[in-house]
Amino acid sequence: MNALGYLVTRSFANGVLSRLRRLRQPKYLLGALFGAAYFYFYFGRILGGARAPFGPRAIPGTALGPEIGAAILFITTIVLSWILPASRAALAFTEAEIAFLFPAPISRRTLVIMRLVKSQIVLLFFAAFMTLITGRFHLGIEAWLRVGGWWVIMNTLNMHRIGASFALQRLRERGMADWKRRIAVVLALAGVAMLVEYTRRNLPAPPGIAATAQSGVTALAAYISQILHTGPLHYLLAPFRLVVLPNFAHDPATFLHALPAALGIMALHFIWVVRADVSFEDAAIESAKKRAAFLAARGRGELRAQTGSAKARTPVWRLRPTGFAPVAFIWKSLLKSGGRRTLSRWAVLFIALAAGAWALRIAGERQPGNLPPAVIWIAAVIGVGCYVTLLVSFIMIGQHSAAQLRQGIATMDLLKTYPIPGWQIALGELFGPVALGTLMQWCALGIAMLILGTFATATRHMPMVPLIAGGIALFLPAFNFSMAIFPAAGTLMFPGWFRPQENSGPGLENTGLRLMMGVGQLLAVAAALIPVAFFGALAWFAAGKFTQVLEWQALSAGGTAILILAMEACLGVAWLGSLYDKFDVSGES
Amino acid sequence: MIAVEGLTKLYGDVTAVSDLSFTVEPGKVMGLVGPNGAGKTTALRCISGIIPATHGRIEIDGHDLHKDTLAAKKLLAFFPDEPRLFDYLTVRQHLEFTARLYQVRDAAERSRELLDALEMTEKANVLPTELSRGMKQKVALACGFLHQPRVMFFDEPLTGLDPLAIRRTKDLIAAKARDGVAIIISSHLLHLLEEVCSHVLILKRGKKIAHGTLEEIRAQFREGDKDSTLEEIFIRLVGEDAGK
Repeated sequence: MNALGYLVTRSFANGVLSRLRRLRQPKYLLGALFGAAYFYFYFGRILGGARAPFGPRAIPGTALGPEIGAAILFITTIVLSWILPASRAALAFTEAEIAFLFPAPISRRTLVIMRLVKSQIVLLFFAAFMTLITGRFHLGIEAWLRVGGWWVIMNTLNMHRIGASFALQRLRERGMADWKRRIAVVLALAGVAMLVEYTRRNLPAPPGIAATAQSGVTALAAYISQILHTGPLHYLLAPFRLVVLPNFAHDPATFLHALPAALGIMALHFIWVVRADVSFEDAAIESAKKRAAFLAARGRGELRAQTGSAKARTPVWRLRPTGFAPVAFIWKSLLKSGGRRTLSRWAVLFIALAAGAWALRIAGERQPGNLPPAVIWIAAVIGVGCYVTLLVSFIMIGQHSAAQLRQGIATMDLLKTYPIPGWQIALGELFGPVALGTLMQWCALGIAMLILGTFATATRHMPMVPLIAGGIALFLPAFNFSMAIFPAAGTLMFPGWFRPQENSGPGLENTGLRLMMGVGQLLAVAAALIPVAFFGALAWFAAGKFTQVLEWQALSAGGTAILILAMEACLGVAWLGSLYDKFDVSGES
Repeated sequence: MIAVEGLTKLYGDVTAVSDLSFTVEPGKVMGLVGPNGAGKTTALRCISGIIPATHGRIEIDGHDLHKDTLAAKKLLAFFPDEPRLFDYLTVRQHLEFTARLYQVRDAAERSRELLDALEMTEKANVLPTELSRGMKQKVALACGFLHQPRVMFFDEPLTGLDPLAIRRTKDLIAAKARDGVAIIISSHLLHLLEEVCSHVLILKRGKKIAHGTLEEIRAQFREGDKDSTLEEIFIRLVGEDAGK
């Protein structure tokens, strides 16, 4: 076996072995069990014969529909690979591969082949996954035909992408600017569009929208199919159709009949890629560096890698050298989030949205119950945006705070030498993301209230609505702290379980671990809300003994709930502080 | 002054550091040496309050590190082997942040002086990603010096630096010692320690096997060769553990 074959096979075998070996650690074993249970309950229904949770339904009488759809998707991907790339041709090599293989006496062609061979494992998994999620695994032998079909499509797409990047690199070396190339591709697309229009004009009129609604999409699909099978378009699209055809075979005979043409096109792509003698080394090195930086950033719990081109940011305020120390962490956190410039942009966006919402509200007052559809649409879009922001932020603030804390663990050597108690460090680390998140939530809540006024003028005169909104606004900071404390505590109590660099990859055990963390966070918050709900209800009934005014009862219950949650948050920060103080850095090094 | 008495650090059944005692007077520089895994970094982390000691007493300028943690920490500075900086803070912002943590009243003036002394004034508004390793080391030094600590701990301070940076760092350490700061340096670069340290402590498997001034150690372990270097004595003492 040659060296490259040895590298690929041993790397794969060792990777599988090390994943199996780490199942001896309880966290990975539990993760694997959790992940397996998830996949069983999620995909088991498909394997048992039920339809996929998402995926194509067979459209009766339009067998060509999915085939054409897949061909269009295929074409779009290929066209984009000629339009989008702006950087040099890059093959994905790791830094170790670059260090060992690039200086070695190995031809460029061999490196390309090695890259293609290495990608087969991923492509095979992806083909199986696509078959699974498109609900074909309950089809017996047909499932394997689907895997084969997807594998051909994925391979051809992959090689076309690489071949296109090589061709573009060559064009660049010959002095062709990217914009010229893009214009050429757009012109070619315009030619195809004209061809479609020319073909369409020579066909009978398309079915009306009403007819389409009545007969499903059958008539429309048949019409599109007719266009694509008429005149020159039929020949132009033939190669694309041939590649996707095996994926739509229902029996082995049809599959084997469709396979040679698809494999032939794949083989032509292979020859095209391995014969293109294009310099990809520089770009591969650059790409490997970026990937390593991305992985390192993910290891620190960050969502993206910091690049050398980043610019210094202006702090939101000037930090005085004396005062409450946790403020320094908030100041740092705001800087990390973009500093004054980013905050100003958000403020402008908020003011614009609030002004828009206010204008809509005035329009609603002037024409109650008779708003133009455009106004209703705009109001609905802004309103839905606000509610989605609120919902997503409930989870994201906690996760972001825990990520911040994980990054803190990487610099724990430094943090531990600071002359401030652990609770102040914990408060400081959490305060930044919580403060920013709460500010965003307040903005969303304010705009949502204005939008609500646009739709229901009566609500403006109901004192309960602003009261509820005010209550939610007051409830949010303590709630956000509670959401942040539990994942943060988990990070400090079980640092080995919460290492993002080890748990963020693919695999059953990592999926299980991520799910466990999410479920754990929700359970912990649910537990924290029990006393809040209990004392809130107690206050509601207690207030009911003295007054029958609903607002006073609500105020009493809400106030108590906020107080209890705020107390929990304070206790939580103190607890986090003690965990910080006791945290053994040596376990992390 | 640093006073350590009976410092022991256990990890389960494993003893990382065992019954370590020594003092470092103001103005003195102690070299902490030993083969890999001898417990140098663990000892340094315990003494600087990063990790708790299992047993023993550590005093920083008279403050018990365990009982009076914050007061003790205000007086010390720890410099890890790899300068760890915040990606999104410029050099100046690092100093502002550190000033707030240590409540340094005249931070602006001190920062200016430090940046000048470390030839970093031109880089004051630059992010760490644009700095070389040596420059990052300078930022870490500036942050550590800002609150004028009375005690300093350096973990492998010279690793990865070019000869000029090594010379500057050594000069800085020597200058701080002249100002009366008690310093502990952990390093493998023995010939360089010989130049900077007033005395040396050699650790082997968590235990102190030699401690004293360089002359005292030479006199005690030279075995006939009066011109023995610290490196020769070290290899003789740690024997089979060296080079692990």
